[in-house]
Amino acid sequence: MEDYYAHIKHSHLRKRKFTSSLMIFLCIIAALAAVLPLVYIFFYTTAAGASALNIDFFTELPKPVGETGGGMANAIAGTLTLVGLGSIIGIPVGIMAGIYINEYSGNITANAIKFVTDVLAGVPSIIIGIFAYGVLVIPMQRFSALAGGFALGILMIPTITRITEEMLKLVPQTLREASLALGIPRWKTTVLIVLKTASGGIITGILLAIARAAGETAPLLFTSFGNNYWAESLDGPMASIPVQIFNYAISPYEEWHRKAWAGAFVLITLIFIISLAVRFVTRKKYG
Amino acid sequence: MHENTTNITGQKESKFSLETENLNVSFSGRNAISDISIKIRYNSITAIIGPSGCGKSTFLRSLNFMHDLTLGSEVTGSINVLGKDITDYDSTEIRRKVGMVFQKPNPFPTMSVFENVIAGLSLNGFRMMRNKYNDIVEEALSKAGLWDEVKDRLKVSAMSLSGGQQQRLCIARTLAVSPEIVLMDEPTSALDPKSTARIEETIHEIKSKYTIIIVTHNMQQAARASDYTAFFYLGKLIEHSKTRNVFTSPKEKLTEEYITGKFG
Repeated sequence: MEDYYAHIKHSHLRKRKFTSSLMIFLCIIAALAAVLPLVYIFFYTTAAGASALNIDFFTELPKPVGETGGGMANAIAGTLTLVGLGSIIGIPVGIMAGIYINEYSGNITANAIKFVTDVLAGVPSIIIGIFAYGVLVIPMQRFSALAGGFALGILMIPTITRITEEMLKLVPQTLREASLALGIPRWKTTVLIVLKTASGGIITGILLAIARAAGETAPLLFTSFGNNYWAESLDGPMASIPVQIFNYAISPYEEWHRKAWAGAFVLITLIFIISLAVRFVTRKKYG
Repeated sequence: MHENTTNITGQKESKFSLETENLNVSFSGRNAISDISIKIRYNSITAIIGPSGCGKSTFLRSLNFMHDLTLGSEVTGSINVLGKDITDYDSTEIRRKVGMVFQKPNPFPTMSVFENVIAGLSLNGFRMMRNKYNDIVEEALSKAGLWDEVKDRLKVSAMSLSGGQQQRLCIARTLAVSPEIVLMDEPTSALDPKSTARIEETIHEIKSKYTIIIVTHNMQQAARASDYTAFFYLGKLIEHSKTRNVFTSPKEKLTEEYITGKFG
């Protein structure tokens, strides 16, 4: 019998095994490098921020320099309000644009819109902020929560549009046919069958967009600006966690630095909770 | 000439639930079927056979406006459904009169068995009492021969049923909107022989109430399950006659060659 493997010398095999182990080792290092920063950020902010965290932090307004105590209640409420305003703009526009691309438009229009949303997704967030400054802050002659929410909304649109479109694409054509063949009108088929089938993935996209918007600082710097007190209306300046962190962190005061860490910790926890919500929503409904 | 009989109320009524005349369907200028003239009797089972790409599915889909979903489709000639020209119907109306069962079972994955059966009613906004829904579900599932198997698990996901059960669920869903004509596009080609036999039984049981047109690749199925058989070849209707005649003494040489396996 002929030995087909005669050409493989024993030393070759050893070299191969060594290369294999080396590459697997490098992959493990890379995987650790991907996870470590997050773990480090989480522990570091917890260690530095948790000590400044107490009930007051969530209920009190910021105190002036020199006074101890005080909190970020207005900034926490402000972030929730701004993200809420952003969602009111970003979610419907994003979902409807996604539906239009995948269900109704022709190929050329769809590709054009997809290209534009991809470009929009790549636009630095500070540019979005300048845009909101130009179209809302200057004409209205004042910083406002509305302008901040508008900027966050614009920021959310491309993510939600593309995820909606991708998720709708995964819904089999046969389901649309099944629905239409029952005499169900097209718009009802789109909303009650197609959108519902894809809802898990779309909600994931929405939550990811919200998580990203919640952490944005740049677009808020010259739109909602910041406020040391409770905002009087959506028409005026409003505090937000990222901007408050920024203001505290660049200050020279030790007490404010500790507050900035606490704010960072709250923000990360908020995003962590949203991510957990994503996992919860995307779990299989029928096991 | 239309063959007409007079029914009890004295109205002229056709024996045929569906008639087409010189029906042509083309996609982006390319003819898929040409000059199809066929008459389908009430409460009969008609099998449509023919090699792949001969226009069977196109013909079937033109009967409930489903060709409309394909870009660039064009239809000439006439289709008469239940005594009315098809263009006189709204597309959602015609699809409720002419139901369709597809090649692959396609229950709605987000819905339970129960919700799937009533989908055609509930999503169309027919509001009715829960009891009425219960009756409809039981009746439709019984007709589709699935009631005994699922009556205790109407609330489970439709996706947890087997492939054959899913297909019978799709039949039940179609019957629940009370169509007069049921189109079936190779309804058993994705199923095992046992499920296939069960579906054929179902088709046989519902035949007395519905006009059924079934596209099939399986000639034994056509011979077993149908009253009439139509043979399509290259977009043309070659022969349409009683199933027994088509399979034992076909008039056309092409039909004989196809049935005896010389091509296709």
